[in-house]
Amino acid sequence: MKRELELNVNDELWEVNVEPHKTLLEVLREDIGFTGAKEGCGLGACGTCTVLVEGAPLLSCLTLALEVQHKRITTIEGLVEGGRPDPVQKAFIEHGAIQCGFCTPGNILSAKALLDRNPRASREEIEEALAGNLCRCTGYQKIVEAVESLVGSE
Amino acid sequence: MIRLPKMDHAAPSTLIDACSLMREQGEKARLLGGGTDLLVASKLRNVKPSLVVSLGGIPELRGIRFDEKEGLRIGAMTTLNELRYDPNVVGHYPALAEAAASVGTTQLQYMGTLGGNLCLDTRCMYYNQSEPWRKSRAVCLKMGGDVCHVVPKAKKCYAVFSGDMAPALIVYEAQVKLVDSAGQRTVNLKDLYTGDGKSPNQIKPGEILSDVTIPPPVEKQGSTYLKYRVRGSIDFPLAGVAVRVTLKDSGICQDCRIVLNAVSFGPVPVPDAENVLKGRELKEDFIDQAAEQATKAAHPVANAIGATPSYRRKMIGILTRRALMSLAN
Amino acid sequence: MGSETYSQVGKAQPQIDALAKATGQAKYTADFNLPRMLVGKLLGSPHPHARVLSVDASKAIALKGVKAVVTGRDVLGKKYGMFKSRRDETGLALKARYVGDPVAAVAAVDEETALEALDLISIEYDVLPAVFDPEEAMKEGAPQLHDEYERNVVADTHYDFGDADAGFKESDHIREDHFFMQPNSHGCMEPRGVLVDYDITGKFTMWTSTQSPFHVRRDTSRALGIPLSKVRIIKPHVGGGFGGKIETHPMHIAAALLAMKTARPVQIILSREEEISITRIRAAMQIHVKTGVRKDGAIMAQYVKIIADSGAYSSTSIMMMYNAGLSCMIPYRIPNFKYDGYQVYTNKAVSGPFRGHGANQPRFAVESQLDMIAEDINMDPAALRLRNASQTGDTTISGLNFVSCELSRAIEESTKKAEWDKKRGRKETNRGIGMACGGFVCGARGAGHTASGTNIHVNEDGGVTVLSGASDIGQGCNSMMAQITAEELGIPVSDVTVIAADTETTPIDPGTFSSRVTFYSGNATLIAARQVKSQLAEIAATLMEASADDILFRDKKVFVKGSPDRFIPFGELVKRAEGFGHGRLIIGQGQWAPTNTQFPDRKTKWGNVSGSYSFSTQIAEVEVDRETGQVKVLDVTIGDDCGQVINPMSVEGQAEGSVYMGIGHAFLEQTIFGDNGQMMNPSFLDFKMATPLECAPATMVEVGKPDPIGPYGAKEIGEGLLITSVPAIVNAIYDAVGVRIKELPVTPEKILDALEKKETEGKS
Repeated sequence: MKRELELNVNDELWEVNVEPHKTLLEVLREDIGFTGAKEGCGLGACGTCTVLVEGAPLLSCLTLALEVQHKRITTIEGLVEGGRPDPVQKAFIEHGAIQCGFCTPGNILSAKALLDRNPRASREEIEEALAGNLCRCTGYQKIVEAVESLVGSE
Repeated sequence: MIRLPKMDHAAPSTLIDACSLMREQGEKARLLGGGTDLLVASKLRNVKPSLVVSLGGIPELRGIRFDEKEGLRIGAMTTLNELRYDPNVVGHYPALAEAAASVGTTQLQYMGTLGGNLCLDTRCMYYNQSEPWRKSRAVCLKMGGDVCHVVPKAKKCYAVFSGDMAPALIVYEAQVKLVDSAGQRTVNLKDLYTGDGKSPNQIKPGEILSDVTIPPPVEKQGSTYLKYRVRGSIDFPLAGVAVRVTLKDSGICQDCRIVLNAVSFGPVPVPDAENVLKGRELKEDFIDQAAEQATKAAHPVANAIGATPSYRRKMIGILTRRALMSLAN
Repeated sequence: MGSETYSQVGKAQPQIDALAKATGQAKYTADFNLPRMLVGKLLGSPHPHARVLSVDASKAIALKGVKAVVTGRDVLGKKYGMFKSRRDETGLALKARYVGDPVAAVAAVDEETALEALDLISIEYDVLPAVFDPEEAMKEGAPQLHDEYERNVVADTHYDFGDADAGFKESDHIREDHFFMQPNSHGCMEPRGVLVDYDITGKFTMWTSTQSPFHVRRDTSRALGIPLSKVRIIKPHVGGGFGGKIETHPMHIAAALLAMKTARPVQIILSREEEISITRIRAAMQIHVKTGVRKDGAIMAQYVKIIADSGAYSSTSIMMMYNAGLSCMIPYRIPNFKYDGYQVYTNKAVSGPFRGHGANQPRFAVESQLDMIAEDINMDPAALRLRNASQTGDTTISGLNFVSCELSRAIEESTKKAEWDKKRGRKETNRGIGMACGGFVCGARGAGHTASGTNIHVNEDGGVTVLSGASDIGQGCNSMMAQITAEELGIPVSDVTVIAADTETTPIDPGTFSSRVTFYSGNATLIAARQVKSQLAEIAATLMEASADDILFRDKKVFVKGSPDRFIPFGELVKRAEGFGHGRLIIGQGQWAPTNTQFPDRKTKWGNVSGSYSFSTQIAEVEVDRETGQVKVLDVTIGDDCGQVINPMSVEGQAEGSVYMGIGHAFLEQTIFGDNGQMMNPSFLDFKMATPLECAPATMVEVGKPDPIGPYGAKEIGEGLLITSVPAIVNAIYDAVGVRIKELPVTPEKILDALEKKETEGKS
C-alpha cells in the first residue's frame, strides 16, 4: 500500500506517493528525479549512493524513504547554490579528482560532511572518512588532495 | 536497482507500542534500527519480513548517559558514530570507542546502531548471497535447509558472528535489557549468544533490546579492541580481540577480560587466557602464554572471503599479544 | 613536458565535463528513461554446463505487468564476437556454459515485477559434466564446451623467433620458473546497462555503457540478423571500463529482442553481482618462463609458455594470447624468443580484455624472474634491466619497431628519484624496494577497420563542435580532443564542444581499447583541426592581404605573423568565411591510422602492430610486517615514456590509478570460484578493491620526449603502467624480507608461509 510522504530534499518539499519498502535512493532517482545519487552495489559497500541527511553521510540504498521524513536531505544537486558549485565540488574539479565521475557525487558528499564537522581534518582523517567511497579510476590521490586543499581555508 | 521485498513499515513512538506490535506480528515482523544489516539481508532475500518496525522514533532508546557511580547506559538506537566520539566513552571505555570506529565505513557508522550491532546476524559466504545465486546450491542450514556448505556433515550452522561491539562490551561486563510487552529481563551480554550460527542470540520474537549498561570504570583499568580485516574499511572482521586489564598499584594484573571476535557463533571469552595473567605482572612471557590460550580458543571455519581459517586463528594470537602489549606499556 | 610554444598542450586542465560530473548532471545509462519504458532482467543458468531443453514461461507471462519473455530460441541471427574467427556467443544461450550464463530475459512494467517473473520461468535442463581447470579441460575426454574447439583450446598461439635453443646454449645462466596470476574483475563503478528504443521502421536506438559503440552495433546487427543501418548506438557518460565494456553483452541482445517483441523501450541495468560475475574478467594465467643470460646480464633467449583460463566463451582470446607473447619482447632486447600460448575454455565466468590485455600476467612473471636472475648472477636488478633495455630505432626479432624509446632514461631517472642504491638491501628494516619495466602498444593494428576519424564544425560565433567516434569512459579523451582543437585554433577549451560517440552522427571508430585513443583519435583531431585552420587561414589571408602561411591563430584571434595589431577575432572570421565568395562552410575532416604498421604474418606472427610503443619503469617501496605477513606499499616512483604529455592532470590520473589498481591486483583482488564454478565473491564487499587506506602516493619523473608519430608526440599511458605495478611490488617484498611470491595475489599468509619455509631451510 502506497504512503504519502513529504521529503525535504535540497531545501524543497517533495510530495511523493510510494510503497513503504522503497529506499531513499529509489525515491530520489525514480520518483523525484535526482539521479546524482548512483547505485554502485545496492548493498552498502561502495558509497556511490551517499547523500547527506541532516548533514550526515548516509547510504541512501539502505535507508527507507519513510525513515527520513521531516529531515533535511541533501543530494549532490543540492550543493549547487545559485548556479554556483560548492567549494568541495570546485576543489574536486580543479584537482583532477574526477575521472569517470560515477563515484564523484558520493565522494564529494562524504568530503562535505567531513569538512563541515571537522574543518581541520588531517590527511589520515580525510582518508578514513572517504574510505567508504570506492573509486576505480583515480587511485584516490587527487581526491584526498582536493579535500586537503580545503582544510583550514575558511 | 536492488529491490527490497514488499514490506510494511510501522514507526511506533514508544517502546511499549513497539513491543505490542512485535507481539501481534510475531516472526513476520523485524525490528529496524539503522537498517545496515536487515535491509541488506532483505535485499538478498535472506529474510523476508512482512513488516519492519522502526525504532528510530522512540526517544527512550537513544542517548548515552554516564555517571561515575552508576556507570554507562547506552540506548540501543545510539549510533556507532555517536559512541565513537562520545567523550565519556572515549575517556572511560576506550575499547568501546575503538570498536565503534572500526565498524564498516563512515557511512555505516552514522547509520548503524549499537543494538543492531549486538544483534547482527551471523555471516557466511554461502549465505550472504542473492537468492538467484543460492539457487545453484542445496539450501543450507541457515536458510532452513539441511546441509552446510562449509562444514560438510555439520548438524548445526557454522555462520560466524562478527559484530565488533559485543566483545568490546563484554570485557566491561556489560548487561543488556530485553523488553517485551509482558515485562523485561536483564541478561549479561556474554550470555546473550547461543552458540548456534542459525539463531545467534537468545532474543525472543517480540523482545526488544532496549539498552546496554556497563558498570562504572575502575581505577587503573586499560582496555582496547583490535581487529583484522583485509581492508581498513568496508570489510567485516576476520578476527578480533577485546581486552580489558586492571592493575594493582604494584603493577600486578588484578583482573583481566579477553574476548575474541569473528571466529565463532558468537563472541568468545577466553578464561584460560585471562587466568594466565591474573595475579601476574603484565610481562611479555605471560602475554605470550595468554595469546597462545586465545589462539587455542579460536576455531574459525572457512565461511569468509579474505583469509583462511588458519590465518584468522594466527591473527587471534597476534592481536591478543599486541592488545596486551599495548596495555602493558 | 610542458612547452612554451603551446597554449594548451602540456597544460594541466580538468576534464571538460568535470563540472557536469561534480554536480550530478552527467547522465549515465541508468539515468535515462523513456515514456512507456519497460524494465528487463536476465535469467542466468544455475548450472555450470547444461542444455536448455524447454522453457515454460506461461506463468511469468500471466503475471500482471509482464510484457514479454525471450530465450535463446528468439535469437535468429548469427553468433557474434569481437574476432571473426572466434564468434561463439548468441546472447541468450541454448546451452549454458557457466553458472549465471543468461538463458532468458523478461520485460515488465517495473523491476519488481520483472524479478518476480524470473522466478516463474521454469526451465528444464539437461545437466552436462563440467570442467573448471584449464589443464583438465585440455585433456582427452574432458567435457567439451564448444564443438568447434577440440580439447577446449580456443586460442593456440605460437612464435619462434631466432633460435631459442641456440640462445640458451650461449647462455651462462638459465632459469626456469613458474608463476600464476589470478582472475580478476574490472570493478567499474558503473554497472553496465542498456536502454533500447525500437520504432515502427524497425530501427533500434540504444543508449549503453560501452567502450565501443561500433562493436555493439555490429554484434547486435549480427545476432538479430538485421542491417547495421537498423541499429544506432549512443554512448552517454560511462562509469569506467578498463577493457570490460568493449564487447557486446547478452543484455544488449536481450533488451533489443524484448523491445522488438513489446514495441516499447526496454532498459536493462546489471546488478553489481551480474556486473562482476556475468560480464568479463581478467584471465587467470599459468606462466612458465625460461630465460638465459650471459654473465654480463645480456638476455640470450627466452621461452614463455602460458595456459590461460578462457572461461565459457572466447572473447578476445586470440588477441590476448598474441599480446601476451608480444608484450614480452617490448621492453628488452631479446635475440631469440619462443612462445607457446594456449587459451582454454572452462565452465566459469568469461575472461576478456582488461587494462593491459594479456601483458600483465607475463610481465609479472618475467619481471619477477629477472630479479631472481640478477641475484643469481650477482648483478643489480636495475643494471640488468638497463643492460637489456630497448632503444629508439630498435626493431625486435618479431618485427616491432620502436620509433621512440626512453626506457633507459626511465630506469636512470626513476632509480635516482627513488634513491634506489640507498634503499636496496636493508632487510633489517623490513623495508624493501623493487622495480619493474614494461612497454605497451599505442593501439594494436586490427585486422579489419582500425582507423579513427574526427569531424570538426565551426559555428558562426567561433564555437567549435568536435564529432568523434572515440569513447570517453572516464579517462578523458573528449578533453584531449578539445585540447588539441583549442591548441590548433587558438581558442579556449571552453569554446569546444565534443560529441562522442553516436554511430549515426560521429565517424566510425573501433573504440576505446589497446591504448589507442590519444594516438589515433588525437591525430585524427589534429588533422581535422588543421584543415579548419587552413580553410580559415586562406580566407583570413585574403581579408588581411597576407600570405596564408603567415596567418597565426592565438587568443581567439587570427593574426598576421609579426603584426600583433593586424588580426580578426576568430568568431568574426568564421562569420565572414560563411559569406565568403559564393558561401562557405568551415568543416574539418580528419582520419588517421599509422602508416608504419605491418599486420603480423598469419603464420610466423612477424610484424609491427603499433605505430609506436610506450615504455615505463615503476619502483615500489614496501614495508612488511614479519609477524602478520601484512604489507604496506609506502611509495611508488614512476618513470614513464608516454611521449609528449598533452594533459599532465590526466596523465597523473592514469598513473595514480594504475598504482592503486596494481596494489589491488598484487594483494587484494581476485574472483574466487566455488566447486561448481560459481563465482563466490560477486560483490563489492567480497571482491576487495582498495580504499584510500591501502593506497600509496605515486611520484612521476619526467622522461618522455615527443614521439615522431603521436599527436604532438604523445603516446599511451593508460595500460602500460599498470602492467609494471604488480611485479615492482613483488620484487620490493623480496628485497624487504627475502621471500618471493610467485602466485598472486600476495596474501599475508603466503608471506608467513614463505618466511617460515625460508627459516626452516636456513636451519637445515
